[in-house]
Amino acid sequence: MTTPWPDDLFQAPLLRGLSEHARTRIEQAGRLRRWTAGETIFSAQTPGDSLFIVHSGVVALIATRRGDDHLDVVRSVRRGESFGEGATLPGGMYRLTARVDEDATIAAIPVGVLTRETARHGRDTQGSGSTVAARQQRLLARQATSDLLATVALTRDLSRDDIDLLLDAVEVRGVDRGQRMYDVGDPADGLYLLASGLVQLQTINDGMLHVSAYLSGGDFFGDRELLTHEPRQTAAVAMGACQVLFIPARAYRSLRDRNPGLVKRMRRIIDDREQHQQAAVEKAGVHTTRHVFADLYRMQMAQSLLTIDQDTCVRCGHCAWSCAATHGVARLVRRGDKVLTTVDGQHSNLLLPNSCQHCKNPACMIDCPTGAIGRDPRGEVFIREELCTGCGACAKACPWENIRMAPREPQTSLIPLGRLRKKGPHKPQDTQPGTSLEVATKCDLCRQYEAPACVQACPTGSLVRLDPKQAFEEVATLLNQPSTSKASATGRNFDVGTTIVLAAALLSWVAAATLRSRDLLQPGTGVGLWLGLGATVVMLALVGHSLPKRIVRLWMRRRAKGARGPSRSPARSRLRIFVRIHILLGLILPALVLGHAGTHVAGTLAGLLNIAVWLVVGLGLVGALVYRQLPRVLGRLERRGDLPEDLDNRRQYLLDRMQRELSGRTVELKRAARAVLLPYAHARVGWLVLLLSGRSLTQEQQRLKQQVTALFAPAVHPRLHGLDEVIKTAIDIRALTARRVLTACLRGWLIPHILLSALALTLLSLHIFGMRYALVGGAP
Amino acid sequence: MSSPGPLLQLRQPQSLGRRRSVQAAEQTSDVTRFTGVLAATLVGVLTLAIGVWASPELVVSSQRSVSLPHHQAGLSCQSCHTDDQPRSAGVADTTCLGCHPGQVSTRSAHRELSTNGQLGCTTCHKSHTSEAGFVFSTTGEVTRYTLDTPSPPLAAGLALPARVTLPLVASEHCGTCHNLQSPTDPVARCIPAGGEVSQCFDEHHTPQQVAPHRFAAAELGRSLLQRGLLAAPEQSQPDHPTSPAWLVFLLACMTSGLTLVGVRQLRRRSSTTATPTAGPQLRAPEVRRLPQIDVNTCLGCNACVDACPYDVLEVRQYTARVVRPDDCCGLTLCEQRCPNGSLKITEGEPVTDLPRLDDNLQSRDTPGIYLAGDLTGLPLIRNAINQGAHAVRCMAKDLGKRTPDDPELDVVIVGAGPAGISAALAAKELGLRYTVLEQSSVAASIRSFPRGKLVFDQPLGMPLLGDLWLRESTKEELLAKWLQIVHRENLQIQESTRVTGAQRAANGFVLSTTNPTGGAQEVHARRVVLAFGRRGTPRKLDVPINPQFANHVHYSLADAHSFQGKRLLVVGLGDVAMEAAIALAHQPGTEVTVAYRGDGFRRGKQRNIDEVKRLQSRGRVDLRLQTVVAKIEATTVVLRHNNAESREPFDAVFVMIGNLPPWPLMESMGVKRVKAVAQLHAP
Repeated sequence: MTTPWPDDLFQAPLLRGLSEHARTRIEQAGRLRRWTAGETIFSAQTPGDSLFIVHSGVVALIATRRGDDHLDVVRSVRRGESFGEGATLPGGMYRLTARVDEDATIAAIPVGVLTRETARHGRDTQGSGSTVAARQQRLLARQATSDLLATVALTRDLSRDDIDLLLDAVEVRGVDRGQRMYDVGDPADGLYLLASGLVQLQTINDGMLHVSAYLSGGDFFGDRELLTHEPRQTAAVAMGACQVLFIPARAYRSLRDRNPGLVKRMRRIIDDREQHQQAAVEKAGVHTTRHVFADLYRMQMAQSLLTIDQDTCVRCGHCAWSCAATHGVARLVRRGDKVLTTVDGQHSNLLLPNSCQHCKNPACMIDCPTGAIGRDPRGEVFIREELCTGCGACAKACPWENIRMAPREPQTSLIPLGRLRKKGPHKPQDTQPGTSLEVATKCDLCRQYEAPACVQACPTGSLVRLDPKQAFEEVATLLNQPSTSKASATGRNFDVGTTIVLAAALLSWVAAATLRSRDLLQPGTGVGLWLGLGATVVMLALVGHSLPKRIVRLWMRRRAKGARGPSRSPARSRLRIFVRIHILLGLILPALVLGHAGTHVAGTLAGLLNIAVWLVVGLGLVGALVYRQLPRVLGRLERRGDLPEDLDNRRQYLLDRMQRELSGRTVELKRAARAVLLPYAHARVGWLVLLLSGRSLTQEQQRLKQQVTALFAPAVHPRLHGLDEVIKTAIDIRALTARRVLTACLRGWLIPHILLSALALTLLSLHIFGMRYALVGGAP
Repeated sequence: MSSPGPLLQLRQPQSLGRRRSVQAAEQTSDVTRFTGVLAATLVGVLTLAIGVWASPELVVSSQRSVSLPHHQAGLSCQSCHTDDQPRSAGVADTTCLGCHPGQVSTRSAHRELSTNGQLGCTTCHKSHTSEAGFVFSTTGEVTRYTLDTPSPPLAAGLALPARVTLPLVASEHCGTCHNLQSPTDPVARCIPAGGEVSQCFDEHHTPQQVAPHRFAAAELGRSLLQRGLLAAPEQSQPDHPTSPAWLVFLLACMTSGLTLVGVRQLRRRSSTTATPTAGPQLRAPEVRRLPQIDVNTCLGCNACVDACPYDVLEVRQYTARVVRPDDCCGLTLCEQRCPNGSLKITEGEPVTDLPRLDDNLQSRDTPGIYLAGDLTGLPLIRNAINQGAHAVRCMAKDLGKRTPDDPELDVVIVGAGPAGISAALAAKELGLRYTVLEQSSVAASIRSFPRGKLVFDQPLGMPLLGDLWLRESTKEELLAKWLQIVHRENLQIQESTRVTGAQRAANGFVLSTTNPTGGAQEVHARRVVLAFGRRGTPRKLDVPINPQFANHVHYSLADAHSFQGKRLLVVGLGDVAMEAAIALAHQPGTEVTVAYRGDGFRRGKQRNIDEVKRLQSRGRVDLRLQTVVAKIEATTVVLRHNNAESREPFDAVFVMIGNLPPWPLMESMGVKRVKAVAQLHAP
């Protein structure tokens, strides 16, 4: 809890006359801190959720005026005054840079909390709180709007008078995700300028969405129908929370009359955009199915999107495990949409699991009633558990279900015990925040540590956090962003190295076995004995491999206290090297064992040890092979990422879906299903055929469709409406078995490997003890 | 300006809005996949250690065996290998000579090498790898052995005064110094060409020095070797019990495997049995309960609003308000969800609009009639399912044995909604003779939900009684699943059969029914379950309707999608009507007119009112207040506004002016409401 704020701070015009209750709430959620001259509080065009009130000192708001190349002080803010009004507009974004001129003490108050508290608890002295608050909001909004207008492309060449005219006419509107600004057939009543967010111009036909354009910050739309005086041809839908400036038709027409060149200029801007987007979509071509654009808003919003490369991910789940080890409850669920896209010049098959992506404009933060969700200067969004009431508003607001409710104090131990504490029905005793039994949890990028646990703990380095609007080439092109993705020539192909290592290992095995069989090596003497001792050391090292995996929290580097600044070094896997060493040692071990014990297996303890080691090594080799080969095959059969346990009940679900898709359809479709699709789906070894054929789901779909349509005369084809869905389901049923088998292969070998390793280790110690005892000890 | 072609085509997303439920953190297999592995490992290791401890010879015998005579003499490792000498140093000659005194070679070359230290006992006699020889017993039998494995004895016909052991040396050991192939090499005398063992029985003693019976034995051995009569035994496993080693290992594997499975089973069982936190609620509360909200502490977080199945609450000015108190169902879902206790349920006056029921859901006024579902005043699909199963189970206990004069049916279930289907499943399971009467079709209430609506199952730890499937799913999934169950179980459901009345009869009740074709039927059963919900039947327009248009008059809207591009009239301005109008107005090309006889918005959810107003301002909805339908003709509808009639063409009419409550029917059957009884007793 913070120290109480000075009383005179609450004499600032904005905070004057608040009730005691409201003050407490604001103090709890806000931050009061000292800044030294020269520091930058926030930069222009950065998202923000706080309004700032100066308690002492001076802050300068600076901006680059249009057409200038130098910074101008727009206004100086002194004691009692406020700045950062941009945050009060929907979609909160600072439009100016705030720099401290003289050492200052400044209170930062989350806008949501301030609005709520002023509106609800009002002012004791000035009558109705809500009306005062509303007026105050309007003033703040107008101030913010004028900054905002200057940033929109349309107004670039307008005169001062025109800008003033616009400022009078314009109306700032916040639009929620999924809301329509207008629909097909609505009368054209004005022009929209998009200040922030993403808007889709779309028409819906036969259940399919036809997107005609994506619009992002700075674009305008709705002009076409204004000129032709016809009703709206498309619907404008907000893909996420948007901030739009609405210019009524009359104001637009007068603006147009005063600026004859305006229409032409607008036309040019639109044409550029359309050509650009068309090119981007065409370029995306075959390698990116529609997936990468299906949730473009997500790509645009995400600042740190967790992606798992499904072609290399071995589905070990160590990411979620290490998350649970770090936080008590896993904040990452390896389940979600799949995206086919180009990253660093490679066609990647990425899973976007349930894990916070640290939105530019987080819906959760806006919806939180107590200001418990904050965002630090790096843009990392985090939850302050001491303010969380467990109401779940954020979890409902997050469009991607990345916030989950969990017990407030989960059992934390070095190793997650695999259970969540069960609680009775929620019975809060205290109305204070921070006392509820449940809290909202989400990924905070392991704030206390230097890098997120999941990324560091990935044994294959498939888990990466990235900014999709720059890293995904297609998205970068469509959103007109600089792409950080660089074409890489190397690729992930180290087959030559692997072959050499494997060949060397095999050679050493053969050499050791030959030497031993010629009695040149004896287990009890000379080199033979040393080989045995070496095998012991290697076995210990191999088993030791499991240690760094299990004690994630111990080796993760804590972040230095008070470390600020926008950048953290990009996180990468730290366990990958251990896995490689493990495999390498695993290849060396058989040579040592062969040299020591030979190929003969006695029925004694030593023989058992020999067998156990070979079993463990064999399982390990199988595992390595499976890990290397199967993910790619599995990735080809997945439409989205699922957990192994999700697959268990999926068959019934798919069968139900098939029935649903067939009910109420034409006789022809049902006949097609009976003749081709149902036998296809239920074929006993169908999964094996699908696996061996090497076809992707899309290819399989095309093949089946050809097969079905060949059954019917072309005239009948229109009556096969709904065929695509049924084919997809049939393929899914077939692929499901294949996926389950592959998943079982990926997971099944590990536990026997662990158990047998333990037994082998036990046998090893008994063997060593026995040898020593037999040689040196007394009589039995 | 030309309209651009579509940039790309996408599958229409389900919904972009805010959800009404939160997800709890879950323990995925990623986290739990190593459950029990530690325990299994420990158990396996322990088993192995105990097994080995119980049979220590396993440890010691983990080297090659010694020769049979050494074995029979009871030698152990320590007999030859001394404590302070590593085994790799081999065994010193002095150790061997301790038991075998005077064994010096008779050959001068060997003797010379021996004194130089280049030839020792173990150069030829490899007691751990290739030791072999003959044993002649005093009974006249001879045995050949390899290491510690003896061959079957052969009667040699030569009785010796004492037991004789003659070791053999593998010729390969001679081969380290001698050239075995060369006929001139001295070793050729000892080893016949191609022989595997040497026959140099005179290595340590000349025939003159040795006892005659040893000499005889040596001669016999030589002839046996030459004639190949006694073959060397195949060297089998050493005679130490080897099976325990394997047994112990297998045991360890099995115990650790069993532990793994066991721990996982336990964990799974504990996680599944722990879920229900409250018993099934089977009866509606008898007093009115209303949420009271402390506006000083209310956060405005919408938790209660989202929890309420009847939209009683709304958030206005950042605090929750009770906006539709009449619809409050008295379940405490909102109170349970409130994060900081700002919302408390207070008990108020008794509810008078409920049927009088006992704990078995049987009517107190007319025993034999049971109620289930919405009718009892308790909402939620889950409750309806529970009540249907509960009522039939209680009834079955109560029913007793059939008597010959009993009617053909045990129970007739009225209504095939969630409660009715659940009751029918329970009746079938209990072997009752039953039938279900349904006025329209199975699960009609679910059918009337809008397309793609998410059926919201409040996961509050309520257990589910009976066999009916229920998950949070879309309307289509739920409906398909239920129809599948009805079909699979072959439930006896008579659709399009409307119950018009009921009378007590001998041993039960007689229900009179009608169907749309005008047929009437009487159903006689011992018991009745009423499960037809509160919706009753939709109120019809009391105006003449041209039969040509009758098919275009709808009382619910299931699929707005199919009315694209049509001219539509919605009659009424309640929530149902507003939601229909909104859904229709969102379809492309529709012209939606709303006719309402009142002069403004009277009731309804704020968000519906706002949306209708918004659509009206956009010209998507034509709202006609104080307007009633006067007549429906073949293609047009006559609307009357302020006594002025206008005739307008429409493609379809939606009549959404509320429902006729089912109370009259119920009261005709003798099911009384609390209110009615209270009035009776009123002074």
